[in-house]
Amino acid sequence: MRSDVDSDEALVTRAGRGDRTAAGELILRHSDRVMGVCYRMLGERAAAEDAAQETFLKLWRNAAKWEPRGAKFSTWLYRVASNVCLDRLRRGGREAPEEAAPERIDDAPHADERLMAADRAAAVHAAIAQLPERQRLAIALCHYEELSNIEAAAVMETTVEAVESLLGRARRGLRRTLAPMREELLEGGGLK
Amino acid sequence: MTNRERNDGGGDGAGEPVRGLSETDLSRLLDAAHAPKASESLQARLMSDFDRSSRVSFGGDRNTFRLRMVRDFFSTMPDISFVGASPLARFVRGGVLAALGGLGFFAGAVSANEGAEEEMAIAYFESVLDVGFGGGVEDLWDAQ
Repeated sequence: MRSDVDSDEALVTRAGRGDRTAAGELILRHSDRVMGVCYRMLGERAAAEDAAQETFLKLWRNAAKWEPRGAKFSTWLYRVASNVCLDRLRRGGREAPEEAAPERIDDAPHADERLMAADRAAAVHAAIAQLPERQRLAIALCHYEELSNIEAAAVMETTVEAVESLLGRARRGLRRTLAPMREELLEGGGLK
Repeated sequence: MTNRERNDGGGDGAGEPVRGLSETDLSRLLDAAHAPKASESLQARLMSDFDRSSRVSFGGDRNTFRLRMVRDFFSTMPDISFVGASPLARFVRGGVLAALGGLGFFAGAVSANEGAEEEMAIAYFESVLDVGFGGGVEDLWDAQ
């Protein structure tokens, strides 16, 4: 199949010409990751979905004139998603997430385990939500999306050293916030 | 060693001991906190946005094409107050705006006559666009 081997860049070009199949393939490839970044940044599912939708809308509007200019498409898309989230956070002020419970806990077969997994995820999401925006973004990109520091620096339009510094501070902040709950999170939650 | 593992153990003070929670513990906790995936309804919304967006961009009917031309024209006018524009640009924009204002007046008059002069209105609209865009509007419409 053509879409199986097409690069993201080729798909964007085709989507820019109105190719629906190419657009569908881009959605399949990238919507989960865009949703992931938006959720880590905004901490709430509905807001994350709106931000993801705005990100893709910007993609569709720019697809016809999109040029790689040496950058990977995924880097560009992450940058758009990050900027959409940062704009929303700055417009709406920093709010605690309304819905910190995890969305995917299907792996836990029993109700009590599901509850513990939900509590643990809620605590981690709340700790992430307390981080400054740029530290949160660094964690979302480098830890969760597994981007290299070089790629994350390109997305965040900063230096690799700055990304490393943001990551270090973010992780230290998370450890401080979560340390008092260590026993219940790790031992009670079955992660130990 | 992956980039993620490197980050887990390094970075600006990341490895400093914080009592009670090691770097490994933190990584396990982070891994256990999943983000939701894009739902089918979200993917459907994204697809329908694409459909809407490509309809506007590529046109399929006359009204869409008209809207696109008017939108594109106004997008070339960075400042409606004409501040900073050259005298020629001010003259041209002023003329076109006056023509559009006249068109509005004319359209109101036509609709008051139950659309009897619809063809006249279309011809007038085309002539305004011809003036604004240097002709060829018919060809462009035919190409749609």
